[in-house]
Amino acid sequence: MFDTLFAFFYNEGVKKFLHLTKARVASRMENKIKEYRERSGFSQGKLAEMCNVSRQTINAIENNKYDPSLQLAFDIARTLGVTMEEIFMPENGGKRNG
Amino acid sequence: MDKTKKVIGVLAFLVFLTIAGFSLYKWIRYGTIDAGSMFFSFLALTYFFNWINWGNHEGGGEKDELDKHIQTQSAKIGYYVLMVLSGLILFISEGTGNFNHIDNYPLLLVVCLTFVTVPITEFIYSRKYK
Repeated sequence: MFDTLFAFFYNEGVKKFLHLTKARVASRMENKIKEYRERSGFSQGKLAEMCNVSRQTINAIENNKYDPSLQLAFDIARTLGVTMEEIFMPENGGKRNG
Repeated sequence: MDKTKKVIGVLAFLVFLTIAGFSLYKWIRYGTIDAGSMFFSFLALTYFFNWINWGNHEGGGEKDELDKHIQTQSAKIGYYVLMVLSGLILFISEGTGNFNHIDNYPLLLVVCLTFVTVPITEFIYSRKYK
């Protein structure tokens, strides 16, 4: 009985918890924000201010730790004066599951 | 984090230690568990973590999309942590893994609700998009 309960808890709780914590921290998108930002002479803080987000958010996007929302991606592209396709490149050429 | 914020964070932690210490003292010295001080010590700990993370004791304030993403992921992870902890507390406090020997029905109900809450919420929320 206890083994069954343990297995149930393990599957429902621990496995899902581990799945969430192990879920890839890296984003599914690559980007050239840093390159275009430096070309435009903006610091991370300045770009963040212009896009109404925190510097940490820009830093996380640049380091591929977080995929921005569509709105923020457009804001970043517009601020840097480039198109979305120029700075954001989907992993695997945009094909799901490789 | 500026100096004032650090001081407030340290104060919140000291409040937690004081109240938690008081509860612990009463438990060890007199064998009584003070629910009030237990509740307020956890409240102080909540304020402490909210303060050091968001700079607001209630976890509010202005948040950008990365902050909201952090909140969403933490809520999901926290839910499963709570599920496992409630199960552990039930089986440890009852001293049995056998459902037939469990007497604490309110806690058993809470444990059962932890399983069913997400599927029901997902079902209701998915109606919005179907």
